[in-house]
Amino acid sequence: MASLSWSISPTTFNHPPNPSLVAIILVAKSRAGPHFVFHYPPYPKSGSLPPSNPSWYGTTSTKGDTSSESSSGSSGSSDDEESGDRSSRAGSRVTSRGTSGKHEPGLRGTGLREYEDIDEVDREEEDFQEDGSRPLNGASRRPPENDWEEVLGYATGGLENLLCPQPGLNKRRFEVALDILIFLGSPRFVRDDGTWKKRRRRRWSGGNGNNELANVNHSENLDYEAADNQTRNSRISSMNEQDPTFVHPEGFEPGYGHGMLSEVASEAGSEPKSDSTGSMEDEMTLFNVLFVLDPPVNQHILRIKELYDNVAKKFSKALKHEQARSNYVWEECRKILALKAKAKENKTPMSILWPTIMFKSSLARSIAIIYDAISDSKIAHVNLNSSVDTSFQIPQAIFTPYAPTPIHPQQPGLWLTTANIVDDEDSISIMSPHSALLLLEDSEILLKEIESETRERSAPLAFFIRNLTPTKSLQKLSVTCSITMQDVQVLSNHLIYWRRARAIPPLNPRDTYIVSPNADMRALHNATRAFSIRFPSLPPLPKMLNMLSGQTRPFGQLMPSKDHRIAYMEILAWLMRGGWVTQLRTFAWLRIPAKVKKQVADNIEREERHRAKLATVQETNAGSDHAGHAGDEKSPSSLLTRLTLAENSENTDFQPRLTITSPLLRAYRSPNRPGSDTGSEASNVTTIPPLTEQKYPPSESDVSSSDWNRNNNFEYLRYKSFVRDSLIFSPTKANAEESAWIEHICGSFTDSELREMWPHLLQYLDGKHALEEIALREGVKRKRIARLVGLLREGNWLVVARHW
Amino acid sequence: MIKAIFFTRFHERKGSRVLHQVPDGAIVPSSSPSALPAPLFNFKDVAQYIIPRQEFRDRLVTVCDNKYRIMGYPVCITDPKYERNEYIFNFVIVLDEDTEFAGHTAIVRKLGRLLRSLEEQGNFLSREEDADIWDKLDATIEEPSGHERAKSPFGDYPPFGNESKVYALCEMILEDLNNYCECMIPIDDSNTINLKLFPKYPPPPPVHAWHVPISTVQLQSLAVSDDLTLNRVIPYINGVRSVAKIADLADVDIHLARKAISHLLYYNCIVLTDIFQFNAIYAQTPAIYNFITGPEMQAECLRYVAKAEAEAKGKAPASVVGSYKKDYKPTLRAKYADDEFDLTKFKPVPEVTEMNLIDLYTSLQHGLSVQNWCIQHADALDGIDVRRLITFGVLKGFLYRVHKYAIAMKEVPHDEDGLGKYLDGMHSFDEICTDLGISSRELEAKLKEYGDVQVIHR
Repeated sequence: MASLSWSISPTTFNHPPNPSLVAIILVAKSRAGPHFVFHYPPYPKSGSLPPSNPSWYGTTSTKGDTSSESSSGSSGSSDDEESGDRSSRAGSRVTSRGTSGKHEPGLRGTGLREYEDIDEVDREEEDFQEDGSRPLNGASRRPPENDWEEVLGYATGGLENLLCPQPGLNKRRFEVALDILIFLGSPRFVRDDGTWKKRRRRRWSGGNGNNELANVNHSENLDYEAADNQTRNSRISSMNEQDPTFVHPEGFEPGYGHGMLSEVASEAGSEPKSDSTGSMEDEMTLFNVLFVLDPPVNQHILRIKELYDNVAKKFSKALKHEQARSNYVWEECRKILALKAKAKENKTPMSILWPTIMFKSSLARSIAIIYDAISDSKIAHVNLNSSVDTSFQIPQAIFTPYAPTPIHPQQPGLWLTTANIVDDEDSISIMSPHSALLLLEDSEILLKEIESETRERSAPLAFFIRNLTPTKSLQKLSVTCSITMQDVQVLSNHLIYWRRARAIPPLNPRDTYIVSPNADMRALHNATRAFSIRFPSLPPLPKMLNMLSGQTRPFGQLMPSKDHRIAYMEILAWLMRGGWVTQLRTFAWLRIPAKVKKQVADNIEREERHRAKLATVQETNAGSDHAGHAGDEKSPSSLLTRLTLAENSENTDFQPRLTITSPLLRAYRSPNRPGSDTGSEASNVTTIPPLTEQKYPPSESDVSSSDWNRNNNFEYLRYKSFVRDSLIFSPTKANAEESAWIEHICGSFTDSELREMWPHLLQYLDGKHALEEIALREGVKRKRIARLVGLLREGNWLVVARHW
Repeated sequence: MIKAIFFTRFHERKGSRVLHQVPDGAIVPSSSPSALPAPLFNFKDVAQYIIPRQEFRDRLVTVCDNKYRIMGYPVCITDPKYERNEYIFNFVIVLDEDTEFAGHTAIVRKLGRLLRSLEEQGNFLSREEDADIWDKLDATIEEPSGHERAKSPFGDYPPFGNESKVYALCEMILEDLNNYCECMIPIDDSNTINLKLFPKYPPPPPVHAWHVPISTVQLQSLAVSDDLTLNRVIPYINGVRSVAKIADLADVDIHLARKAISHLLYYNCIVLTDIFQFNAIYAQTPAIYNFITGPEMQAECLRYVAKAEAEAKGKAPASVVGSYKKDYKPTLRAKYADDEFDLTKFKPVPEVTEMNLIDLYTSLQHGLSVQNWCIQHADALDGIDVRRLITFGVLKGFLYRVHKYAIAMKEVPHDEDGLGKYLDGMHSFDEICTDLGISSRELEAKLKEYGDVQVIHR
């Protein structure tokens, strides 16, 4: 808690989950060239998503237009251009192209190419992909023949090239952005020896790698061409059937020449080729799963990292594993491409094709599942290849300490608490044995799910879940069920990580619960219905929430009778689960009244005198000091003596000393002045004011006095803290002075039990530990603790704050 | 920090070539003595994104490689005057991958467009090129550029570097943007490149009619805006009035007023809070820990809440204001607090201490309206501006307003005053009152007429 900054500022404000996921694209590259295999959702939309969910802010939403205005507002004359450019990409593309059918430069001067929809480029060059000068294919300049050949405003034929990176990028994060869209992937390349087992590493040998690959591909390509010849004719015919309006110039049929060209050059040629052109012998050299994002301003780095580390990288790894095992990815790719080609022939609409693909291909299905789950901030359970069942998620905050404000909203329904914030950072991962586990789903559902899948952990997990109750701490659970605490924690962490459970302070009818400021009121309607089904004979949800509103009282007091206890505790668990309520916990600090400070100072001084008398001035043996003229000039100085200073130095050379004495000593300068009654004040004035009178007469002007304050701020604060009540922030780390006060306070207790428990209680009086925790942690009955805390509060020893 | 700027040109026969790079050797190896020992990344790997295919040109294209973010705006000018009728180039900025780059995107876009028009107008880019240059560069083409700097065959790279205007442009933009976040570079008599790195803020949260804006700067002293609505609205922002009220007083349409105020919010000139009312309920948040253990915040609070401080009325506390600092003149009350050494003079005055504040704040609780709280703590509140006390806590985040919501348990019949649609638990009382123009007392009376309505405090 101490390490956590409570101050609410944009820097400490946690960004709510916002995967910003627009689409997932699968591209693969075979010897025959790149393939745009699959994308999901069928019609991805970008830019339509508001930067963050407006529902978080309130009931009606106003579009925050200011950012776009301000971002382009500075660019002056280019404004119009930008808006024009953005609004119609297709339009600008056409205009920038100008006349079609121009000569385009090829790379390396290997020959000029005419291209209007059909062009040929050597395989070798495709690998370099440096001739970015290719104009648009016919497919993208005209409306694409098939819906699926344009994604996010780009022709798939163009994207597939863009998204298949150079081998130099193998094993690295692949990130390319087109305007606001970020394509994030983790490309996996085949090894040099054609296997997938070990990834080859080719970081800076990129140039050589290119050539190698290019050569390989070049020769491969010849073979391919030979194979291709057999199927070329059929392919051309099928294409012409599909697009009767399109007449290929002679000699430039899509199928002419190298197979891969047709794919890039014309959408028509691309899909059929991959399956019908006898590409069974063809092998994949690369696959890349691209996650398309459009994160809100200033969240790019966060969102990219989040998605890459948790999903993109892991998914690619899993796929590569499968690919190495059984050529899974490539088989699936071919399956999908074949389906697409067939659909093209049959003019199947996308609305039928896409479900078909997802039905037939587990990879496509997995991609869809991942998209749906991740973009909804949920967990994606994916079954790639019957044997493998993998899950992906972007881990989320399960609680927040911050209440929503008009400027900084929170995710509605997110549990509001500080109970999970642990003092020392390293112990965060280890769950407190004093917390209980609240299942976020009904145990029946969970059990069914667990039993359906047979895993090594299933049996203990089921047993654990059956015995879980949110009212019992894990420690108690471990004892009653005789499971070791370690196992309990492993199982708990497992459930928590997969968002099936949450660690909470055990629910108790003696504790107070309030309607969470972060409750998701939008869900109230549905929740009310669910609530009435679940608890038919009990008051409806709004009534329950109403009872938890207003004056706070322990939850138990809401129960109409003892018989309702079980039902009401179930309700409480239900409410906690949905984030409707949160526990209102009590935090306290020990208050040190000025009176105590004075008494302590007096006592010390008295002791001091006594000792002095005994030791050095034994002969006088007067023994009359105990009358306690604490207000005497001597008293503060003797106190100082005890600490460091020489006796009797005060009046003469106090001023210079003041600057060098530690603030701690200064605190003892005037222990008795305000504390002692009015009579002694005159004498006190003489002890302190010299300082002000000499240099900074306080009556002069505001300015000088404030100067004085500034110069002596620390001294002054110390002084002030001494003459006034103050708090002890960390009683376990109290200094000598504070310890003396605490001791004194303990001595003043008349209640023997309180005195006995005092050292135990004290450690919780630091404003970080909820008083509700004491009983559990100390293993004492709640009633006892409640009584003792009550006594302390009666004596006005505590400053008490209540929050979640 | 911009790590490098380079200018790439696509040659008709030779492909993508880096013509200029700053610093030297950042993109392709260079043998000049001042060059970087190794390029930042392998140009070959990313070349297809620097000069991409036609459909990806004339837009911002970014690629990441080797921990660098390479941002370009590839441009293709079509004109018969060029060989093959096209002139393709990209002026690229390289940043560290984890640098926030939102501000740079605008710069790259603008540069791309500017250079395009400069080239279109006066061949700014192409006139520096001649066959020699390409021949010189040619020597390198066959080399896999890679990182083997020793292989670099040209000793005088960049071939026409230092005299080139485009090279100078790269250099100046890099220097100026890194040092001053802006630059002004005269190109010729009629053209100047003006660039400025603007910080990009996330879009502001929506401003609602029932929000209260509190200024964090002297709004009146802000440079006069061209926004007429803003000019009319600003004088009425006093930290007390709601947006609806401000719109009303300024005689401005509420939607326009909200928009104007959200502009102020975007630039952090204001913060938003709730409408202060004496029947409102406030409670502590965990941030109360910061207040209780923070003497500085307490001292600030003492200054802020002391009555008689009319001067700074309607302003947010100094620390909320941020960089904006103002020397609070000690008021009478504050003076007592500061001058207490001289107790003989001011003894009987019940001064406000930090402990008082702590006690006051911690006594706020659920179910207790400010009104009743004031009655309970009348003595302790002597000399304290209650509204400012509450506002301070809310703005510092250690207090929160407990809003009330009403839920009709039965289907609401059609009602003439339109209250029914607000009774779904999604509209706070503040919102309902503002929308319907009634006081909360009236609202509560009306709700009683509805019968079965549950009020939830949240």
